[in-house]
Amino acid sequence: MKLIETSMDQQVTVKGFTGGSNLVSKLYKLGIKEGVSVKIKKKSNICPILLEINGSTVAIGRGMAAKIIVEEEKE
Amino acid sequence: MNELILVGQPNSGKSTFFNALSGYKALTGNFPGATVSYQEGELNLFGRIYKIVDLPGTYSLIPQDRAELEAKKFLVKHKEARIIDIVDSSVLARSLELTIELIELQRPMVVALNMIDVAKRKGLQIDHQKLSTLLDIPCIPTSAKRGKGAIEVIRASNKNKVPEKSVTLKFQKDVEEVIKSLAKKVPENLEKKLSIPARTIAIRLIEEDKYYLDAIQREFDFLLNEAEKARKILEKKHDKDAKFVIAAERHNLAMEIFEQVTTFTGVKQTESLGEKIDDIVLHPLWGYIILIAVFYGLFSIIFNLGSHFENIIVSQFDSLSKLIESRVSDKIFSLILIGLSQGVGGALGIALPYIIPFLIGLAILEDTGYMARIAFLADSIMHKIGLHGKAVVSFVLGYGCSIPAVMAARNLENTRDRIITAALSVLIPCSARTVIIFGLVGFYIGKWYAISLYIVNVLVIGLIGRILTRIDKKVVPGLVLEIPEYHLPVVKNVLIKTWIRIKDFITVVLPLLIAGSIVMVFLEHYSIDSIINSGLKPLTVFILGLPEKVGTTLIFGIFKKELSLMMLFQAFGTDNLSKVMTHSQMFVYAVFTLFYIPCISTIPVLYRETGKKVTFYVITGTLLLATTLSILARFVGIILF
Repeated sequence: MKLIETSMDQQVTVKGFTGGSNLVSKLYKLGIKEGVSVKIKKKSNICPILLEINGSTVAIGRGMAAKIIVEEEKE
Repeated sequence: MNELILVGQPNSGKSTFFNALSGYKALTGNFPGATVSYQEGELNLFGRIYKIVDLPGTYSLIPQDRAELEAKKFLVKHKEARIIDIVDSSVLARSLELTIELIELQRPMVVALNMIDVAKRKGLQIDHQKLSTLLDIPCIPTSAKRGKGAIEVIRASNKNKVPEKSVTLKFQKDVEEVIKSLAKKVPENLEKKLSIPARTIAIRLIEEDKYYLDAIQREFDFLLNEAEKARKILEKKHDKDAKFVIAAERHNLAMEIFEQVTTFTGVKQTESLGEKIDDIVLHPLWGYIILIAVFYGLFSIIFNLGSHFENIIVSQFDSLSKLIESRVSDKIFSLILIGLSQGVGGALGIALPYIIPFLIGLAILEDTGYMARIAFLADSIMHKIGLHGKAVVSFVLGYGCSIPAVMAARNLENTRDRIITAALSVLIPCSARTVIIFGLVGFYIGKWYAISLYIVNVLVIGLIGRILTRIDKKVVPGLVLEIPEYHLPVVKNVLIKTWIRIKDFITVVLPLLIAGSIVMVFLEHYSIDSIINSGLKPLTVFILGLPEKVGTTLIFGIFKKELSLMMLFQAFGTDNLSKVMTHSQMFVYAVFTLFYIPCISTIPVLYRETGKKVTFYVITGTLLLATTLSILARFVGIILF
């Protein structure tokens, strides 16, 4: 599924990206890479999505969130 | 002299570290030919003098925009300098990736494990000695905010330790082999020219780092083909872009080191205070209400403080002008002196009382971490214009003064967004234009008419933004923004930040304000105003339907926006404008002054930030926009009044 389709408090693993390499580089810099586990901290219908990743908090615009493929982690 | 270059990721506390060392004497420098600035300071420690350069925060050394490219050039070219890598210990894993890139440069280096106290609070214990051994450079725990460890970092830099034996200098076997065979082809004279090891040049060429690609052009073109070959090998094997293969290598190394040097102690899984605050501050409803409340509070403080000091200071300069007039007999000399005193008085009395509290407020918003949250909240609204969240900072600043607003546009990643944001932010009614809106429309016509002007203004800006972003159609890159933890602002840090920005303001704006005021005094004295009035008649009388006398006031308004209202009283020689202007005329006049040409202090800043062409377009564009909207206002006026 896409990051934009997740719900709050879900723990997901980043699987890949559908955007260009510019977008991927931008995300990489903040540690959003394939195989990394992220937690959805906040999600609403208007604001960007707030992620927790390796101890830092990152906001991702909704357009970008539609280009990030994730998978839910089973506990 | 010993030169130290501070490098670190955004929010690593780098500027706090810099301020702790260099204090109030810091200067803002610009990279040659670019609008990117860095801070430079000096430190005298036990008789040794250090020059400290604070580069803009960056997540990686692979430049993605002009700012990062300039910062990188600076770093690579200063071969003799020692690198101080400021690391946010609370996000050590991610920060180490930049550290690994820096180690690849093989320059004398020290790692400052900053915000070590924040890491501890998160339950993260870092074995800095072990990290030191692994990276082969001194790693020193610091807390710049509390003034701890900074001096030790400087001392450690004296060792001039180059991380030759760092464990990070070796990637996975197959990747390393590809790099090595490319490195063998790097000619020795290139290595010397850049003074960067061949292995690092090879890695960077595989990553398509623009700096190195530019550096090898012409002379070493054959390397391009070799790098392309190496890339193909990696891509075939790993099934992704070669640069991401390398990025993954660094990521894995960073994670490995992170796991070796850290232990978690008593992790608190409960919600932290910051998270509780964010539940409200970033709430889709309460968040916006708080945002409005914060701005309302901030601006009412600024206006109250500002007007208080304005009255005191302006009256002092007024009496100084009168004194000059009565004492200095030589007319020309006296006029120059009066202009000088009015210019300085204008800067000290009208600009600074508003700008200083505004900049302090701004520094507090930044240092507490609220600014990033504003960008978060505004992202969806900004997308409607075709920009994204970070642009909102400029617009917010615009309500105070256009100058910091234009300067803040620097923070945006790409040139298009930067230019559009700077251009739009001058349309926002600054505090001076607020004086006109409330003093004219609010006072004579009604408060709601004044407020409606603000709403119309926002809509117009939105519309223009949409048009501009459509003209230069680029995919909106979208927001990716780290939301820092909340911090209590440190007084010293806020004051230094404010001081550096005021220095910037004074050097750019003050000379123009003085020159402008002297010109104004002469215009007045030789009554050139009637010539100007008749010259502007086609615009003022025929197109806008205003009295002829408003002509000069519009010229004065370019010098200082609020002057146009003050001069209106003078031009008509009355203290009740409703006797000489109809409501409709006042409305048209207010609309025109709201949108036309940015003030003479903003223009040079706009020029510096966006260049000649854009500045020209903004000046003509705003004039055209103001005229068009005023004609519309004239028709609306016929219906309303």
